[in-house]
Amino acid sequence: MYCDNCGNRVEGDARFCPSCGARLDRQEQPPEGSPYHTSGEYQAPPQPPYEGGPAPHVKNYLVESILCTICCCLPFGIPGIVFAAQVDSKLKSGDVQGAMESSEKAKKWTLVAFVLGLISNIISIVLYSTGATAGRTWF
Amino acid sequence: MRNNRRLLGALIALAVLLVGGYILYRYDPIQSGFYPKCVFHELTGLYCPGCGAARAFHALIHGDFLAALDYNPLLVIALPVIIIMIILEVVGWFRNRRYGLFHMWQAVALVALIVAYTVLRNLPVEPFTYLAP
Repeated sequence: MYCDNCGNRVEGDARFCPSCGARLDRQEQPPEGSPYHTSGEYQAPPQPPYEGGPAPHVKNYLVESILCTICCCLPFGIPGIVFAAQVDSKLKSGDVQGAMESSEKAKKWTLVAFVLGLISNIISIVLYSTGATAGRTWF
Repeated sequence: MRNNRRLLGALIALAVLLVGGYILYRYDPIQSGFYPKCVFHELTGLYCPGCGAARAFHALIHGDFLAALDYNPLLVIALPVIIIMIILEVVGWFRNRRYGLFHMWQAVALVALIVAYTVLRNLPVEPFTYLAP
């Protein structure tokens, strides 16, 4: 889960946020009536299935990974898209913990794709401005 | 406090969008040399799925929809979908809820579409040359 006060990630059974020290009020996290009323540990096996309605906010990085695949780096962007879909399918089955793990993976791949794209673009701008390459822009 | 951080993130993204939009509006990518060049194209001579994006956006901002389609058809057609996805993402961000969950097959179809588009727009045969920038 994530700390309500500072937004940092918190381990499953922590009662206080390790980053800012705020008390974690777990009853408040999933609102009443939500199928994700996990009062306490996330590893509790009988996970309620997705019953429609909005799921809890676990970022899937889908938009970011699509844009990175198209504009920065195709081979590293594609795993980001796949993990993004994994986040959503795990959210659907009620596996919030698993969705968070997939979310981290999607974030990692998208970041790698973005940084690689950024570095190669900076190199190309430097090469262009020093006159090492000539020609028109293609992007 | 957490919402402040989200607001800051949204504002930074909005600022980047506005500045980028203005640069794309003001300077034609075909005539100005400072735009980053596609590294994939520089190295291989092939078109990547994003090739033509800057020129397409420049044409789109100037209202030339057909020219935009000519430069990068997939991106222009997919643009409304991408905008809707970004809006849903931002709304969910502030309300701490996720809207519109994706299926795995949709992700696989999306990857297949992007890869097929990349291959097809590099084919030097008549109907596919329209996909190239």
